[in-house]
Amino acid sequence: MTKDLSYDNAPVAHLEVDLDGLICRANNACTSTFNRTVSNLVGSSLISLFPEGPNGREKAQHLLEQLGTDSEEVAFVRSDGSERRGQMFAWPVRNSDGSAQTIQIIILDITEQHRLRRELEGSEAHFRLLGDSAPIMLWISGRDARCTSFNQRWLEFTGRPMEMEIGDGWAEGVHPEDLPHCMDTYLTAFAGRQNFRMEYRLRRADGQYRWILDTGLPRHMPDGDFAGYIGSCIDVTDFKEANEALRVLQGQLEERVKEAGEAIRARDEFLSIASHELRTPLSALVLQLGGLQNVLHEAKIQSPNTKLIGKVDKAVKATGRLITLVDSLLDVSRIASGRLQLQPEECDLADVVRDMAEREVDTARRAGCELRYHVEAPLRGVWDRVRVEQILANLLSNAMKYGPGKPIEVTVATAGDAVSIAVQDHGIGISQADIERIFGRFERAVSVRHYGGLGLGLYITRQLVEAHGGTIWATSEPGAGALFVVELPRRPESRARSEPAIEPEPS
Amino acid sequence: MRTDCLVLVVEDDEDIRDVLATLLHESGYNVLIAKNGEEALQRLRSEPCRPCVILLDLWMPVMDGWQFRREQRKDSSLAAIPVVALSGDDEARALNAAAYLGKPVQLQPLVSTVERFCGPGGPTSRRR
Repeated sequence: MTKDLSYDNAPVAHLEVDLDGLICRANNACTSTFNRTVSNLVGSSLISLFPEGPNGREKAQHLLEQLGTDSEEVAFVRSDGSERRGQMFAWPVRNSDGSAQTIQIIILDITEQHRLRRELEGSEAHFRLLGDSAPIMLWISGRDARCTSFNQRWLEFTGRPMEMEIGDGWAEGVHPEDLPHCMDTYLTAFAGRQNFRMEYRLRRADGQYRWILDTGLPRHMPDGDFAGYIGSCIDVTDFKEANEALRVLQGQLEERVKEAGEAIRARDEFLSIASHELRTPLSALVLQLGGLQNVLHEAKIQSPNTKLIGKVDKAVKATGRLITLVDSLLDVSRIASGRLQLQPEECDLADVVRDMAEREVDTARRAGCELRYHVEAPLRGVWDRVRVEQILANLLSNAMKYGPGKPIEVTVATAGDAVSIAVQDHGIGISQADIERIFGRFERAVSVRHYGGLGLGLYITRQLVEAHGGTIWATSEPGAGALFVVELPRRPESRARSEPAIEPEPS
Repeated sequence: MRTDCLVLVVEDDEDIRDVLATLLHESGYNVLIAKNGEEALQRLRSEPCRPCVILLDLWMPVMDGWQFRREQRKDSSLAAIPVVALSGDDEARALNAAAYLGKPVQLQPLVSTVERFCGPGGPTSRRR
């Protein structure tokens, strides 16, 4: 045959085979198709290009026997052993008597198309399997927005066959009130190729309308062409009902919290008003008693009436207790409303303790408690003197109340940058569980039937200590007494709200 | 009447007003009383004698303690009279008073505070 450039340079593999099945000619494209040189190909057997098996050698053989009729998809191998796919055409070049002289063969490499087709088939099957086993309802629509397919779950839900649902049939199941919104949402999204999410009621097989959450996404062909939509639907009726119930509950809870808050505010306001109101007649009472005491003591010189003096002294003492209680209530209402303010001044803690000790002598004697003081002096710092006295008085009164007849040790000393006040009693003690809560409001570690009081002493004490930027803690064992320790920084920290000293009025 | 022993008590509660007046009188002071700030201003302006101290309640109808204090300080003839607040509360600090007597007011601190500004009570008005 003559040398034919167009043959050599044709973009597909072209082989010429003799009647013995040997390759006698190959064009340049064969080099890339088979990864073999032209000279290597020429002289070798055509059949050796195909692997054993029904898709390879057998198919090629069949085609060679049915020359010129059709093309076949066959498997072929390259020199490196890799298997490829090709579309094979074969036709004879005949002599004048009609007998075949050579066989012309073209093999088009279609490996890539073959792979894509297989993948597509696989994914479609996969998708169908997934769709039918998925716990959600699925639908697919085409380019005309009409539905082309529903999964098993959808059909079970609506109880209608596929042929009734496809096209616009599915819309018959949508609640008439929701249909306009449903169609409008879908078609608007469709026109803009946008995702959408909507809720509508859909009639279930049992006739009940259920709330459906439908999420739609545009879908595309592998080449990127728009192909329609795919949507997934879930029945959210139970969720919506639970949500509604939760919303109602939440509303009720908020209402309760509000009521509780108002009740607390009302109580604190009542406490504040009550303690202020109580103080006015108490003032009148205290002053009247004071006047009465004066009158009696002056009259005593002329005609002593010890019985009457004793009675008035007791009334004065009882009033003193009343004052303490009312002051506690007032302190609590100040603390509750954040109105507790310190009046810090430079003072010596040793002085404060000495003053307290003098004042407490009588009370301690009545309680049968010996007060032992260990005071390091001087201990200068900036504190609200009245409040520090109150802290100490509360701790002492607590110690006497729970440990009558036993000694009480008060130790005041430097503790680094701070000072510490420790009050040790030998009373009934406190259990570990109670220690956690004794500093709370209205708390007490013992029954109110055995020990009176408002349960405010330690609460107020802690608030006063903390207002100074200090800390208070207790250690105890039941039956072994209790140790209360207060640490106060030498100056109230910034978080304690303090008022600047007011200059005295010129007089 | 000894003018240096005149004490003005401004208090709306009748019980307290009475007992303060009685006790101060018994301690040798002359006492002027007013039910509220407005009455107190009227008394001060009509009285020929200037009190040595004003005992001032805070919460009163018509004119409360703070309003009275503002009016008093505006009036140069009254501004210098020392004021003792009948409250130890934090709200009372805004008065910028010369002293504070927390309620319930007790007899001893009351007398010693008044003595601080007026000196000891005069024997002339002492009843006993």
